[in-house]
Amino acid sequence: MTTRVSKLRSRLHRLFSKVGVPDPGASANYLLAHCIGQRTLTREHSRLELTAQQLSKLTGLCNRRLQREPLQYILGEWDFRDVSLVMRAPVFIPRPETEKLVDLAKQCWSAVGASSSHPHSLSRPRLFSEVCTGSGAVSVCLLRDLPQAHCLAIELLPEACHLTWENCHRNGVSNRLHLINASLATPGLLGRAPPLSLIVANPPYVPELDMRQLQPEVTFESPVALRGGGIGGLGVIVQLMDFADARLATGGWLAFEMDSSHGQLLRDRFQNRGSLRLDRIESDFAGKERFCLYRKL
Amino acid sequence: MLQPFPNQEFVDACQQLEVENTDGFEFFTESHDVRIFRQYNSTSGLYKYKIYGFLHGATPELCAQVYRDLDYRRTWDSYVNELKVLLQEGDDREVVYWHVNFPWPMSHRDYVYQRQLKILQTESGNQAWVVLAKACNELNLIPEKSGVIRVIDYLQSCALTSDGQGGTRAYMQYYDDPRGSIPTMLINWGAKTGVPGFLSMMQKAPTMLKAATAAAALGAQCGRLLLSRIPLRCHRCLHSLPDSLRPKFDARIGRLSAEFDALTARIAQAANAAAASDGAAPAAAKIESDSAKWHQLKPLADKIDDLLLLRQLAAETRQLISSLNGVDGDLEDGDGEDGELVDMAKQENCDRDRAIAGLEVEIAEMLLPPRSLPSDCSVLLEVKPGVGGLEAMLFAAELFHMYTAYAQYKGWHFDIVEEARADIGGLRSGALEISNGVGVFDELKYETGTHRVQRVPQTGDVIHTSTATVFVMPKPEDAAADFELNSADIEIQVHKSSGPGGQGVNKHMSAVRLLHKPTGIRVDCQVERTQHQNMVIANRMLRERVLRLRLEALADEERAARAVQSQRDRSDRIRTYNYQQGRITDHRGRLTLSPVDMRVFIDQPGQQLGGIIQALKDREELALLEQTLTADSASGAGDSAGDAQAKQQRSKLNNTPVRDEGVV
Repeated sequence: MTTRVSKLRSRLHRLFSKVGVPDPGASANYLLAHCIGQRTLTREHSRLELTAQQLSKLTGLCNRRLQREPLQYILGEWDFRDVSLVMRAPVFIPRPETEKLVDLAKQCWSAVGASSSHPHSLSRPRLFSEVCTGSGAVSVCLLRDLPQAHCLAIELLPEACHLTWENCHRNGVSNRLHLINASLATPGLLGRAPPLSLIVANPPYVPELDMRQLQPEVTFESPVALRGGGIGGLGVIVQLMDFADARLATGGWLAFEMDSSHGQLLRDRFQNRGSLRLDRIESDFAGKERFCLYRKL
Repeated sequence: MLQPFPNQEFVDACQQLEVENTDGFEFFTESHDVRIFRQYNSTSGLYKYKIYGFLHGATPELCAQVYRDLDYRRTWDSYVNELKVLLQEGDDREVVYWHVNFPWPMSHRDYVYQRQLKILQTESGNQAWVVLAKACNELNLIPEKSGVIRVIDYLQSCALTSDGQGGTRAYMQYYDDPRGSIPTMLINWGAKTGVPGFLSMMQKAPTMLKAATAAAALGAQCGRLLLSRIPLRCHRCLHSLPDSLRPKFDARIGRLSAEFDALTARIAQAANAAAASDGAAPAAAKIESDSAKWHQLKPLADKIDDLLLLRQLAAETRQLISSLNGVDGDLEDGDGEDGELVDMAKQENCDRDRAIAGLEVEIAEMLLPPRSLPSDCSVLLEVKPGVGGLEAMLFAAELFHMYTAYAQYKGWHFDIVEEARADIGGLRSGALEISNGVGVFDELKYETGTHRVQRVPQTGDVIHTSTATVFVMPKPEDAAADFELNSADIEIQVHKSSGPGGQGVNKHMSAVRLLHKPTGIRVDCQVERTQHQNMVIANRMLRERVLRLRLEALADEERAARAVQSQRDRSDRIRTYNYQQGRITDHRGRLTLSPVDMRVFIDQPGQQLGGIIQALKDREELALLEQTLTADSASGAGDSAGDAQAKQQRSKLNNTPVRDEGVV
C-alpha cells in the first residue's frame, strides 16, 4: 500500500471520480493536505510519505467523503472570501455566490453613509442586521470590513447561533455582534432597537421543484436551511421584506440572495412592498440573477 | 453709439502675419511654437508685447471663434472670474466686461473694452481674421468692484490666418497698464510663464472645441471612432496616402474586408449550430476565439466599409458629371440648370475626396504595427565631441546648448545629468534627461549619429571640419511601482455550472481566469480555496505580467537603439552644419535648410529643427507603411507584422498558469 502523497493523490482522484464525487481532484487534494497538517497541497509535498497514523486518518476521511459527506464538514473548516470559518454539521455551508453579497452589502452601507440625513450617524454606532446567519460568514466579513458597524444577527437554528458566535469570536469581531435566536416571524422581534441602516440575508430560497435534482451532499445540511423557503422558495423572502419595511430607517437597504427564477417574479409582483421599492437585481459570476436590493423610502 | 476702429489698425495687424516687424522690440522668450518680443516704454515703465506663433490642428476661423466665444472661454481659461457682453452693436462690435483672477500677490483686475472683428485679405490673398480690442471706460457701463483694480489703459490686437497645413498662423499685440506697482520679477513671470501657459491653453482650446462639435454632430458614429481600442500613433505624421502605395493598400484592405466577412459568417453559423444543438460545448469554444478576433477587427473593418462606400459614391458622381457635360464637353460651368448640377456635384466630390483622403490615412495608420514604447517615455540624450580636438569640443558644447533650447521650446522638462567642460573650452561630455513630454523619443531619436560642422575656427582662417556625436536612448519608467491596470481592460471568467447554482449546489468552484484585453495576456488561478482569494492573486499576477511585457518592449527598443548606435565614425554623419554657406544638410532625407543664421539656429532651434525632425518622421512613417503593406502582400497572411510579434510575446507569458492542482 503506497504511502507517497503523489501516488495517493492520483489514487483518490480516480476513486472519487468513479463513485461520482464532484470535484474529485479538489477533494483528494484537500483531504490529503489535511492529513499532513497543511491547507493545500503544493509541489513540495508530493514526495512526502504518510505515517501509519496519518494513513488511517486519511482512510477515515475518505470513507466519509465516499458517503458524500461535504468536504467542509470533514475538514471542519473552510474559507469564505478571505476569512477562515469553522464548519460543523448541520449548519449551512456558505456558497461561493454569497461572496458577492458581502460586496453589495458594503455598497449599500456606504450609500446610506453618504446621504448624511441619517439621524443616528453621529451619535450612535450604525446598525445592520443579518437574518439567517448560518455559519455567520456574511456577518464576520461585514463586521471586519466595517469597523464602526454593529450587527443584530437573527438565526433560527441553535447550532447555527453557536457557530455564528464562534466564527465571529475567532475573527475578533464578536464584541460588535448581538445574536438573537428566534424566528423572523416572532412578534416584537428586536424590541426597541433603533432603525437599521441595512438588512442583509441569504435566506433559504431553493424552490421545491429543484429539490429533486440536488446532489447528495446537501442532505447533510439542515433541512430547515435548505427547504425553509417553501414551495416557491419565496416564503422567507416575503417575511424578510415585511421585517425590513418595519425595521429599516428611511433610506436604508435590504439586500438578499435569491434563486435565479425569482428575478422576474419580484419585478412583476413585488416592485413595491409597503414603503420598500425594488432598486435593482444583480447577477452572480455565472451571469444568473442572484441578488436583490430594496430601498426603504 | 460705438465708434468703429479705424481700418488702418486692422490692416496693420494683418500685415504682421506676412511681414514680421519687430523694430524697437527685443526678443523675450520662445515657447510652445510661439515667439514673444517686447518693447520697453521708459515713461510708463511698462512693456508692449508682440507675439508670433502657430496654433496647430485648428483653422483660423475656428481659432477666431474660440477667441471670441465668451461662453467657451469661461470653460477653458482658468483665470476668468467673470466674462460677459455689456453692449452689442451689429454682429462685429461689442463691449465686453472681463474680471481676471491674477495669482497672488497680484490683485484681481477687471477690464471694460470694446472689441471689433474684421475679415480682411492679406497681401498674398489669404483670408485673415483680425480682432481689435481697446479699453473703453467713457460709457460707464459697469461700476468698479471693491478689491478689484479697473484697468484703464488696455490694447490688444489679434490676427489669424491659415498656415497652409490646416492650422493657424497667429499674431498678437498686447499692451496693458495694470496700475499699481508690480515688481519687475512678477512682470517677467507673467510674460515668461503666464503668457506661454495661457497660450498653451489657447492651443488646446480649438482642438477641444472641434472634437466636441464633431462629436455632437456625428453622434454615435463619432463615439465609435473616439473609443476605438486599436492603439493610436502619437502624432498624425502622414498627410495623405502616397499614390505609389495605393495598389498595395487597396489589396490589403480588400483582403481584410473579406477576412472580416468570413469571420462574421463563421460566427453566425456557429451560433446557429449552438442554438440548434442546445448549447453544445465545442461550438462555444470556437465562437470565443473567433469573436475575440472579430471585435479586434471590427473598428478597422467599419472604416474600410466607409472608405469603399465613399469611393463608390465619388465614382458615381464623377460619372454623373461627365454625362452632364455631354460627349463633347462644351457645357460651361454655371450654365443653366445642368451647369448648376455640375457645380453641386463637383463641390460634393471635393468634400468627398477630402474625406476619402482622411480615411485612407486613418486606415493606413491602423495598419501600422502598434507602438511598444509608451509615448510618454523619457529620454537620455548624450553629446560627445568627435574628431577635431578643441573645435569638436566647442561644437559639442553648442549642440548641447541647442538641445536644451529645443527642449525648452517644446515645453519639455529636462535635467542636466552630466556636463563635463574642458579647461581649454568646450564640452568633453554632456547628457540630458528629458521627460514630461509626449513623443519625446519619437522626435529626438533622429538626432542620434554624427553631426558635422564646417567653419573657420576662432583661432585660424582655414575652414575646418569637426564632428560631435549625439546618442539618444529611451529610458524605461522606474516607477513600476505606480503601474496599475485599468479595470475596464480586464475580463473576468469563472467556472459556470449548467444547473441553477446557488444554495442547491456544493462545489468547490474557485478557479478564476482573467484576460487583459489590450495585450491578450491570460492568467488562471486556482491555488486558494475561494474565488475571492484567487481573484486577488490573479490580479497581482496579471499586473506583473503586463508590466513585464511593457518593460521587455522597452528593453527591446533600447537594444535596437543601441544596435543602431555605432562608433563615432566619420562615415556615420547624419547632418552637416556649414557655417560658411549658412546651410544645414540632413543626409538621410537629403533635406537642406538654407539660408540659415547658424548663431540663431543654435540659440533658438525651435521651428527649424522641428521642421527637420518632422520631415524625417514623415519619411519614416511612409517607409514603415510601405514595409507593412509589402510584407502582407508577400505573405498573403491575415496578420500584420505587429500582430505576429504581439502574439509571440503573449504566448511566452501565457505558458505557466498559477495552479497547484495536478502538481504531482
